[in-house]
Amino acid sequence: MKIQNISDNPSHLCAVELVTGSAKYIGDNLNFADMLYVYPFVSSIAHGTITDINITKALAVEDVSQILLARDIPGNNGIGVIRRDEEPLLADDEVSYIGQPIGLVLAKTQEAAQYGARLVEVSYTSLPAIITIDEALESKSFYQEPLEIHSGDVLAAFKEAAFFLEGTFESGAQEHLYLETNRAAGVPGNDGGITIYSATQGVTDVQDVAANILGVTSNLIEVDLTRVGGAFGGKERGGSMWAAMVALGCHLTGLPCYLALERQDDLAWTGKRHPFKTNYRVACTDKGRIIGLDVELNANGGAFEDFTIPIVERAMLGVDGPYYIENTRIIGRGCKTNLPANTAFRGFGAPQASFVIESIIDRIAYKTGFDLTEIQRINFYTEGQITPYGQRVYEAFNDSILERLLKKSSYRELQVKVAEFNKKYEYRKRGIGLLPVKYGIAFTATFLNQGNALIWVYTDGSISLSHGGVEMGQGLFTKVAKVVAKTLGVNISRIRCESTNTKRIGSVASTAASSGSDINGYAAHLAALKIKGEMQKAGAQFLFEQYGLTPWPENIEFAEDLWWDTRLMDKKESFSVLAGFCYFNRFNLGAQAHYATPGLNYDKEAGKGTPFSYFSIGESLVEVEVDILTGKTTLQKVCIVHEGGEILDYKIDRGQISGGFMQGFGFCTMEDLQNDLKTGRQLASTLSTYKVPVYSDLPEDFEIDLYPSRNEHSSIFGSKGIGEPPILYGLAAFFAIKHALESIGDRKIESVLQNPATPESIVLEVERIKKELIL
Amino acid sequence: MKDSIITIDYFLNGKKQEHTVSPGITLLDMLHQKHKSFGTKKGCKEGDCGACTVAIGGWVNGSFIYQAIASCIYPAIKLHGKHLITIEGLAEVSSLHLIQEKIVNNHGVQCGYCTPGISMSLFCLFAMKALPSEREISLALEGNICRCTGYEGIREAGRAIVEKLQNNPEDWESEILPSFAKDVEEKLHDLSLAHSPKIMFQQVVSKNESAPIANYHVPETLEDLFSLLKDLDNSTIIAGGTDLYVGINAGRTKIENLVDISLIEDLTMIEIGKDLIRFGSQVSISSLIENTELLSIYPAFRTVGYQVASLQIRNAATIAGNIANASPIGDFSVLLLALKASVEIKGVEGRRLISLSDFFINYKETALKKGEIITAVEIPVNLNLKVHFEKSSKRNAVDIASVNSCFAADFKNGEILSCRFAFGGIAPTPVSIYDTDELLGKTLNDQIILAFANRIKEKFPVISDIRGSKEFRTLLIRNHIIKHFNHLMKMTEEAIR
Repeated sequence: MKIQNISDNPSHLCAVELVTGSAKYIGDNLNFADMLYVYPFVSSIAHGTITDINITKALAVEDVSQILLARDIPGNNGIGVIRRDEEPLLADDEVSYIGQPIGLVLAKTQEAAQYGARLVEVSYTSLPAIITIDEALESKSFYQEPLEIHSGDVLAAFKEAAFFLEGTFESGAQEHLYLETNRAAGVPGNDGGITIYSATQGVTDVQDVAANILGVTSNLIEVDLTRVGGAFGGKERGGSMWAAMVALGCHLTGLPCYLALERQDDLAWTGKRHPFKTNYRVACTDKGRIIGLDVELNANGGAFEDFTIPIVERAMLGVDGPYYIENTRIIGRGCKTNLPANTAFRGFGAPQASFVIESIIDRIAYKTGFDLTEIQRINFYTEGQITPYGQRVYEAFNDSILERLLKKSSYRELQVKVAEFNKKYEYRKRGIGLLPVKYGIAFTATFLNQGNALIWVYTDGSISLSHGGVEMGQGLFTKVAKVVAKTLGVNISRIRCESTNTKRIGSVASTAASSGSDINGYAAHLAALKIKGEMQKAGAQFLFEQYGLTPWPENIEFAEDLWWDTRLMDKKESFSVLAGFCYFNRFNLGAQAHYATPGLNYDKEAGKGTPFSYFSIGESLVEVEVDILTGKTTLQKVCIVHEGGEILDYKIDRGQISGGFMQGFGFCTMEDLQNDLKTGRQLASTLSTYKVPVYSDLPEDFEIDLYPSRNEHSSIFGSKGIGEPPILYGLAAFFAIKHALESIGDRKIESVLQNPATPESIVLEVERIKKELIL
Repeated sequence: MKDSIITIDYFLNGKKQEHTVSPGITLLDMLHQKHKSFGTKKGCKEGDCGACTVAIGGWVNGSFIYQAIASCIYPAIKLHGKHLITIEGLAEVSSLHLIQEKIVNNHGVQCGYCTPGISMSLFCLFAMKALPSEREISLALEGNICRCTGYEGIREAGRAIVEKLQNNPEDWESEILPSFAKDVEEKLHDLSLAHSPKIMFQQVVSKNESAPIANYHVPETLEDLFSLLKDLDNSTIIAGGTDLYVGINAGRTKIENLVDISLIEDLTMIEIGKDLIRFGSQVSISSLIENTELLSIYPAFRTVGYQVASLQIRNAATIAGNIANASPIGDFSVLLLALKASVEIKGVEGRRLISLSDFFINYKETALKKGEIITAVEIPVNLNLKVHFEKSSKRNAVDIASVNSCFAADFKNGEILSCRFAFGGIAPTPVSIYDTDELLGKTLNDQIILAFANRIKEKFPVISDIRGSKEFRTLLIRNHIIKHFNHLMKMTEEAIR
């Protein structure tokens, strides 16, 4: 394949650089003779006060040049998300989790920096540590008062109910495992400024945190990056800490500084997906319709607040799932514990919430004896119904999605086959799981729903495109470039996607909440429209000069890399010609635009409003086979139906669905993070102990039905956000396993399988079911 | 002690290289530091993610073989006499390699960080076999973690490559091998570079204490090895290095003298006799489990082998290294215990042969004395043995077991004449279970088996750790035994039919 042909039909604009290894990641092209390597040394206990820091041995290491502690920070030692002072960059007096940075070793080689960091001796006085949600609940260790959402009359609903169910569900932590570990480089500029190259999803957060640490204004800090090697939320603000460290080193030494975490440290020191423990009570009619839901969602937030409260909030906003529930009491608590501060992870509380509501739906199906699909159907939202938080639900046709899925997957036949299989085999059991998704798109913090873009057309007709979004593999750059190409009617190969840079695009929201292409795509569209308007004026003038055509700018059209006046169709000119004409006739070839997602408002205190712009919907079906002697699970079949809106790029969206599915599958099966309950030490902090899905976990039968749709409620060119919703599809595997185990006693025993469904969790549950059957 | 200065000769993407390397530097670090070549990615530094996969080509028994290697745990010095192909060597200036083209077209790339490693794994696969099966593609890619794509686009890419080669078989060489590959093959053949790297010892005043390895030795004969081991106060043997380097990279292990035994030819033989199988301690897992003669006697070697680590690791790691490591949960250890294997040990004092069950003494403690190494593994041939292996782990592929076990039975007419079990993960060492009298000489039924399984599961002081609780592991002992017998019954039924 000839390289130059690729951009004609891109599914990923940078694919060629990536696949040839020529794409640069942070640190790849640093070539400074005087560069210093920075490595932190960290707390080895979960909670305590520092009594002494002995750096003598570390300083004696050859090539170690300097050691920095909290007292060396010239500005404010604060990197907290909501309140800066809440979390220090370097622990000063108190340490609150294992892995909390205490100081930095600066050295001429990476080896010396790391070796030096190991030789620093820190003494502590230990304080009692809180590790689990239960401990936090008992000692009332919370970040703030619980959040609450109320609707209808829950007490009345429970009085009316034909039956009610209650209990507790738990879901565990999950490691992002972006393949590129956290890293940043800082380079001193000519004029007192610093340029930070940071593997981050949020350049503005990095900029502001670094300025705060250094005690300088934000305009002295430039943050730049071309791409991130995977993020999944882990670098939404996770990048800021490490970036601030290189900024500090750079500021104090005047030399370029670089920090790249080793995998084992990245695994052990950084925050994860929040573990949740949820107590619930649900009231139902005899048909299994939910009329009341009373839930308390408790999240393990770790030692610092980070995004815990917004994550709890999104869980509360997602716990209705795709189901209309008239009467609710939804409580959310962020528990402060002595673990690394848990943080954003694809889904941002929604997968945990989905697990809760789908577990409830599953229990209702078990209790009533109706097929799971019946219980889903009877509870799905209908057009215009109101969520517990007061938003009207439009265009969430989960009902028709389910029909499509059942047809596509031959659900009835599959059920029969599975039942026959389970009769035939004693130790091998199969099960089917279904997981419907109604995913609200937008940042629930309304102010974040804004995007910025800057476009320059050069006189040769090439185009420079900058926006606030970060490319981390999700295909954002390609999508935004497609939007601009469509708006200007040009070939996409004219467009160069520039690095994300705070000097070109200031004050941006992190690339998160599945909103990247919505807000950046829209902003780029608006900027391109400005340029188009200017070029229409120029085009009208051009045609007047050439052919004496009366200038009428609105008549100028752009398509297929050409432009023309609709009155003079046989005189089509190239885009480049017009770009050159613009310059010599003094038309503006640059445009900046800002976009604010309309119609959003959410009152956190009241728990009411319209937090979401629209909903992404779909449903997955998973069939598994479980070896009940060993707990080994194999995916047999996956079928996903996803309504895509006006799809900007089919391959990119499909890739988000398959990738999200596997990450969700890992989350509820093999991805198992545990902490020592006494010391808080993370027990799986290498890739030999923390397992994520590999190639052979992908089933032969893997079908994605991503279909285009027209919606009134959607985003740029009718498209819909796709980043996060698909992770929920993977959870169907958990319920498939649960159903496989329930087949052991012909559904006489309801399974209480623990999440994640590891082989251990499965084997212990099989044992429990078999014992119950004997009794 | 003097510092060693080592010079190695090899080819990098078609270009001859000759330069010094610091002792024990990994291939990945050398690519980044010396060649400023960053296409090969650092993902985990423990050989568990595949981002750093490169292809190493070399002559083996008359054929030129490309193998996928995890460069983060591979000493650069082992490149000597080899052809290293990295992602930068795959594409020509103006066009993409077929593998890259198909990855791009099938959207098998998202963030791109794993992509060079995936491309190199596919390259090694297709360089050795034009039309691999789906299973073979899977085995080649299991060691490459991709967190973005869910592997679907990558699978489509693999299928598209196969399809292309199926339709144009004559294009295989031009599509797959880079244009410089054949030329280097010939040069390596003629030059016969495969003598040991040049090593000079030099007095260095200050030694960099943050370097994990001070000296690297490459003896070429057993005699040299033993005299070296006698002279050195602190020495560590390295064969594949796939476990050793994990500790080194994590900063846990500092080594004064690393003694590489990979150039000692005596240690690379595989002998399949009528009564005895013997293989040297330098035999890699990959070459052993691809040995068709061995597999015709004990097919279980492949069943086990495919469940051990990833292809990148199997290509470098040796079974003897796995044994010497004395992991309580080595997959091959339980197979070899069940097959009544013995270990040949040599040292300055001479040779001795001890049974594998006597070799494991305690947690990570073996019968090896100072100055001794494992030179060979011996397995008696018993064509009547029915062998079955079970492994329980969190992930189905590329994982370390919670419990693994192997069952070998001499089985005739529905009765067991003799049998033994071996288990890993239930004691400080892999263990054999001999007391199986209640199973012998009778027609087995579920009650007998369950009673036996329940008795055995109470016997071991099983512990809890990250790979499984005591309760889980205890249940696995019982369940594995049930699985072994189920398998035996199934095989018998099939044989009767």
